[in-house]
Amino acid sequence: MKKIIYSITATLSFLGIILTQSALPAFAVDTAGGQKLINETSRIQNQATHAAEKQTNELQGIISRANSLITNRITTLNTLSTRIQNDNRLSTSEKSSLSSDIQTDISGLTALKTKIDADTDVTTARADEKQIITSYYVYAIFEPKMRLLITLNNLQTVSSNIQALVPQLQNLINTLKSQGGDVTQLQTVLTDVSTQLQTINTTLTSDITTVEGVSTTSSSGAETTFSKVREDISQIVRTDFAKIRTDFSQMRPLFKELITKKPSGTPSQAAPSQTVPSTTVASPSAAQ
Amino acid sequence: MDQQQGDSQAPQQPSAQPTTPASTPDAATQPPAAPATPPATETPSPTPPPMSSSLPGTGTPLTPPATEAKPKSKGMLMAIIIIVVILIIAAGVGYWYMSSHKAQPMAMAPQTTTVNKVVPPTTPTVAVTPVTAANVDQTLNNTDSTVQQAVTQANTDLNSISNINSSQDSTNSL
Repeated sequence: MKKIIYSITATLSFLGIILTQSALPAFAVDTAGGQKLINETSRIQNQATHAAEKQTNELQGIISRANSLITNRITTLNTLSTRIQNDNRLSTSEKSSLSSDIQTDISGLTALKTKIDADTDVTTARADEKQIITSYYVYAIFEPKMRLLITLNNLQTVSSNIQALVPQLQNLINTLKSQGGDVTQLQTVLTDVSTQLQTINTTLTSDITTVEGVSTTSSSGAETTFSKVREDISQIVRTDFAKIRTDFSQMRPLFKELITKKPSGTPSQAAPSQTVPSTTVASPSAAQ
Repeated sequence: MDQQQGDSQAPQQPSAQPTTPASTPDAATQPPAAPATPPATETPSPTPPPMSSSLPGTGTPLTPPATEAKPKSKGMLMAIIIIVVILIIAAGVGYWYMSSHKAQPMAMAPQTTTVNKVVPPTTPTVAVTPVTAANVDQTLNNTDSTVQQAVTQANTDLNSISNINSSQDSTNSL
């Protein structure tokens, strides 16, 4: 009986020792393992520090680049503003309207700069930096739009000036006609001037409306519109105004001839010294 | 509250009211100088408190007589009138303000974004002197020069538009 008890005790003791031995390594904190843990922690800390440094540098880079982008744009806008203020063909209301648009962009960009300077994380700063471009499109849309509007308004002013001249010329032609002069050729030329002006005004009015409708916050479609308007301006400048200038050059000698050689023989206002009565009245066929 | 009590008690003490005049002064409570004053001057003075308190069967003190309540009610009346006038004026001002700032339709209108209204190109006022036989040549010459300048400026503007580096607005590098 005692033997059995001894043997059971011995077996249990043996099993206990084996179990203890097998379980110990799991809970063991030997010096080598602790050092490993410390090293691992240190490595993670270093990695975190490097990541933080990297993020800070990246943030500073974004802020610096954004400031440069904004400064360039504000400089461009100020140049544009000066161009508008110095333009003597633009009316006061046109200047005011265009300058107001420019000032709105300058204010917006300045506010965006303040926000970016205060940004603390890379993601926000990057998103704000994109806004410098996508909310304004200063170079792709805004500046071309402003310059096109300036040009269109300038041409419209010139067109209006000529338009105001037409009735005056018509009056003079009528006067000369009433005095017996052959004004057929003059009338044809003046009619052509009116026709050209009508074409110019129609195109300019349409283009101004189109350009004003271009959104500066979306780049889609703007390029096509600008291209078409530039073609229109080229057409107006190279063809329509060129024709008007040709008409003027034709009118001047015709007027001179009619004034200096009046059929009634009265001295003309333009050339009082030339009192030679016009004995040779240009026949209609010759005038044409 | 006190006045209400006084009003309700007044009919219960008919003898007390007639005795209030100075014909029945309490010698014990009067100061020595009191007899020097003529009785006529004492008539408007209120009933002395000792008199009322000494009346048997009256637990509550006598309310001040009508002669004392008169100035109070006058003042109160004035105050009420002033308040009413102020209220009327305030209501009038309020009505005027509401009617003049009637912006209800605007408030209900859909909110619109503020867009810089592009002023339609106004026709510039052209100061054209009457074209006569004497100045027609000069006028045409000047106008031609003006057109030439405008054409030159337009060409310059078109060139400057061509020179705009729109790639600066590319977001690819960001």
